[in-house]
Amino acid sequence: MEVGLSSLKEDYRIYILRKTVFMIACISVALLALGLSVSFGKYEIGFFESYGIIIDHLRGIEPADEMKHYIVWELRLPRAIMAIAVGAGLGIGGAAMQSMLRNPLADPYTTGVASGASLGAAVAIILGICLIPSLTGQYAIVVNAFFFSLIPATIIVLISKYKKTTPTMIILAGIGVMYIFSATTSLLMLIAEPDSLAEVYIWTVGSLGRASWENIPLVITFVIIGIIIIQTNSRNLNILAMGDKNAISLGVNALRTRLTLLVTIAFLTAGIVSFTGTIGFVGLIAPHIVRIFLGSDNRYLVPASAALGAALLIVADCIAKEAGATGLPVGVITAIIGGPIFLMILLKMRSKAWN
Amino acid sequence: MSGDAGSSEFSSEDMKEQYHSYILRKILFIILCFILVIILGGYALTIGGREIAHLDVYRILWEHLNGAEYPRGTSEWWDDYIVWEIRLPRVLMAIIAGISLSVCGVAMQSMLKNPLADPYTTGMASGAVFGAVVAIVLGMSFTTAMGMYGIVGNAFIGGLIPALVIITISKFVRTTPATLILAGIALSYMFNALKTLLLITTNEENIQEAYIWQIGSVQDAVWADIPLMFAMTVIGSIFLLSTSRQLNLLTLGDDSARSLGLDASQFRTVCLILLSLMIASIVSFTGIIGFVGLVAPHMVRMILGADNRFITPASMALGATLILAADVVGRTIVAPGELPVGIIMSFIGAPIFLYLIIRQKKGYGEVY
Amino acid sequence: MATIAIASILVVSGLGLVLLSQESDGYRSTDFPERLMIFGNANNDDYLDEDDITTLEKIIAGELDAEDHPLADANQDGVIDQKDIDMVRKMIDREPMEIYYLNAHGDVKSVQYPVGDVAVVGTGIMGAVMSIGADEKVAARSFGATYDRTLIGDLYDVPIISDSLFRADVELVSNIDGITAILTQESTRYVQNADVFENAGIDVIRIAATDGLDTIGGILTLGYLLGFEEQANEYVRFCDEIISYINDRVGPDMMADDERVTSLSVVMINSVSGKDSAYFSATQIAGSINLADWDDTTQRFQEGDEWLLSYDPDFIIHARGIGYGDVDIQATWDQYGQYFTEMRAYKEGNYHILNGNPPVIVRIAYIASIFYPDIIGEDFGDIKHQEFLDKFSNADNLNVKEDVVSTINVHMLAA
Repeated sequence: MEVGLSSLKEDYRIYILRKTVFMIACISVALLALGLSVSFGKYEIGFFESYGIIIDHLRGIEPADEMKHYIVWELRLPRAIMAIAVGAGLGIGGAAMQSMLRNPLADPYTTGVASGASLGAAVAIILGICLIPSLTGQYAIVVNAFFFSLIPATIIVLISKYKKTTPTMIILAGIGVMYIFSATTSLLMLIAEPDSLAEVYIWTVGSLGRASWENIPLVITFVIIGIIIIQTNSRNLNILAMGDKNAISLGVNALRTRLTLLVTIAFLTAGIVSFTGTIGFVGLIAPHIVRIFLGSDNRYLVPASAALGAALLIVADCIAKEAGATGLPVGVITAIIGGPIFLMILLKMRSKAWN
Repeated sequence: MSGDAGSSEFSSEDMKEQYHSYILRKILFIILCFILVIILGGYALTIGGREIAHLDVYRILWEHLNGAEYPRGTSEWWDDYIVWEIRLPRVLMAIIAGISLSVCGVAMQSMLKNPLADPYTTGMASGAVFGAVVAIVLGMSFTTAMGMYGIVGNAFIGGLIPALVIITISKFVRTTPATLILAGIALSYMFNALKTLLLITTNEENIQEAYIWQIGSVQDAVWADIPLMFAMTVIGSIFLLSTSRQLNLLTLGDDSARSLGLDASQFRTVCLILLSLMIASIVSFTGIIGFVGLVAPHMVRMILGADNRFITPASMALGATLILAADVVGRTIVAPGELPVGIIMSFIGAPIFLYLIIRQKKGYGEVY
Repeated sequence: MATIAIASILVVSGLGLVLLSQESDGYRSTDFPERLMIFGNANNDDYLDEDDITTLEKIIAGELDAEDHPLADANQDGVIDQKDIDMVRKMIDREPMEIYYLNAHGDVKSVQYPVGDVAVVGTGIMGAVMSIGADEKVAARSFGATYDRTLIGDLYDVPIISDSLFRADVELVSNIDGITAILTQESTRYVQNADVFENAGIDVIRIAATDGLDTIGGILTLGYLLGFEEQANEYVRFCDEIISYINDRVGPDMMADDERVTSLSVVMINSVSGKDSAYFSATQIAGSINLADWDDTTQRFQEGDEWLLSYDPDFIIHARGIGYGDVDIQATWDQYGQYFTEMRAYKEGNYHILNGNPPVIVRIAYIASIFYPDIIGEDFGDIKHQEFLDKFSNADNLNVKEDVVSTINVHMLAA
């Protein structure tokens, strides 16, 4: 008896330990990459110099080199912070989507948010129309992208309310709406001037370059609220995974929980996509990798996905900043790296982690 | 012999008769579909920037086939040139693409036991286009025969990647239709991003040109494009038509199929290679035309049931009709300009896709 | 009586002097070889005349090397012989016949001379046709919002034969009688379905109309093909004068490198021109040192990018097709300047938005006057632009200084 109990305790401790170690590892990598990324970039700034600039700024000292100060403080630092926030948001959104819809291939964009945002951006760029008429330029694009990205989610929520929907139907409805929005965006792009077309294309690919001290507070707000809501629902997510009928018998209203999460993830993703465009694969892959180490308990899966997502994205952005002659948008890097990883996941998929 | 079954309402004669009329109705429907293709194709031939009377178009075709020649530059010469060199290839390309993509859709839906599978939703079309782009970037071009085969060959390889992935995951994991489509979407996204990357870095300013190239369109079709598409479509269609029974068996599950004499894996592999060839040969010339392989079989199934022996030919005809209709609509809405077929098809296909999902009463293999 | 007599004599002599001065002006462009790309132009100058026969005779006699005269083989049969001389003689008489020329891609093409009515595809080539006054030859044009009505006048109203700037639709072209050729620009983007036209007996003529100094040769060739040589030569003279003016002051031998300004040029929204681009050479011709060191035609400088910040040009020239209509100067400035606010050139007020609608030569004049206002003259661009508008365009009484926005820079904005 004694032996059984203590080995059980032992196993449990190792279990908790693994989770903690993993979380710490992810967060450390993220922080490390955050620190390193400040020194990455096409403009030559020495490694220690970049930290010197940050420290000087914080101490209120006048910058020695205006240009370097601008680059480190106005370009790289906001971008790195944005990468952490966005990566965390996408990671946690992906984890929640996959658990809630019981599908390993769901990601934050499954509700069609990305296609809505692209359409919004296209309308702003190509037609020059903004939902708030007085806005122009980047502001118009962000506002449009945000509101348009919520339309697909709204449609799906409405469908869910009026018709009994299974998770699969939610996914497929999301896909259907995505196709419709894509078609509209394609039409717009067809009639666009070459300049506007290029702008829309590049916006859609997903980039962290638009990060600035102005928009970071907004993004961080969205992400933090999203994380809080999702984390408090993580037990419910576990219960949902057992099936809707079982969930009800345990006192969890499956439909309500799902709707809450849908809306939360929609806002979270909308808040991200409006500023970055579609950065793919992070929300898809981060939960999978976490699952390999931590299993499917959402109470740990969810925050760990956030941490890993953040780490993944900032590393990807470091690569993106140095790639090619001029740097590449991070969306391209996540597609290049994430794509094959995704394929590997698909090919190795075993039912274990899911049933 | 009547009266054999004794007191039963239905003698075997009656049953045979009923069965025959059942089959007859289906065959009639299929024939109707083909007639529809011819009518619509004939109508599509009459649409264009040059004013040619409807009946004249057919007369010109007839006389051209009889070897008529006109002095160059005259009005009749132009009528003949336009109808024969410009419009006819375009209509043929639309028909061939419609046939090919629908037949691929039918086959995929049986192979993967997934009502939502088609060349587009599974990501095969995107993969094929990516392959084509790689070939073009490497310097191959349609102007030489070798270049054309090179591009289509690359498209074939490109289309195989998603195909292999899809097949593998559907074998090893009990996937819901949703999973498959999600995989297809992720694959499409990946290929699109890679393709964009290629196009942006090699041809900085020509994003618009690249974008227009890959939108599904039958504009600028020329006779030189037709033979390869036609050959692949004919081969593929004949194969799939003659193996309709085997396709039916696949939907029963691999083990049941084996007990009935079919090696499901091998058959799937052969089908897959063929499908990839077909898709590559279409997509390299037309760009991405989505939803045909989804919508046509579904509409046909609503009327004819699920037997592939009937669905396959009917879908071929209906698919051709769909693309022809899209072409006609695209040319009429913004005459004398053109809205590409791909865009029209997505506006038709996406709502139908959504509708199909919403109206589904039972779930798609959901486990509660 | 006497006053009438004297008055009439004065008038007549005045007229006579005017006429005489035109004729005895006798201007011939001599310093610029290899521009008239017609086979038969054996001596490589701007004219097809007796001098070419002389050159051919010398080549046949062995005094001159055929390799130095790539345009000598008039009938493209591979040999230089009497047949070429006969052909050139007929060409000198401007007889209708089939002739050969080099198009913008350097391909040898044949065409029926003189070229009849054409369908124009491309705003640059439309401008070229307008500059040589060949309006009557334009029977149709492609669709496009970028054709500027103010500039091309009635040419804007010709029938439209496509739904895109870059295309010509065969069916629509066939609707118009008398079109013998499609006239278009060097980029392969234009008229991609050229084969369809060629097979139908309609030539597709590609002339350099957008790329720096190549446009001068393009216009000469175009003028010959359409039968508007005199006007073409006049326009070419206008171009040559601008180039000479600039060269004499800031040309390759006129300044030391460290006296020159440095520059970068931008096109579209944020595509910075590389060594392969027309704007790169434009800024070089205007006497600056362009700091671009990449081979691609352009490289994008997106929001958040750093790479351009490593370059420190004195001037940034951003070419945009602003057009000849009303322009919201502040909005244009905000929209296109936003990417370059951290560059020293911008901060010092040396970021200029340049109207891309005038022809390349005029833009070069503007660029030179921006770089070296003291040496070239602040107004040089405006003067030449006005000359262009008055003599070579269909614009109606347009005053460059009052009616047109040719450049935008920070000093023009409301304080």
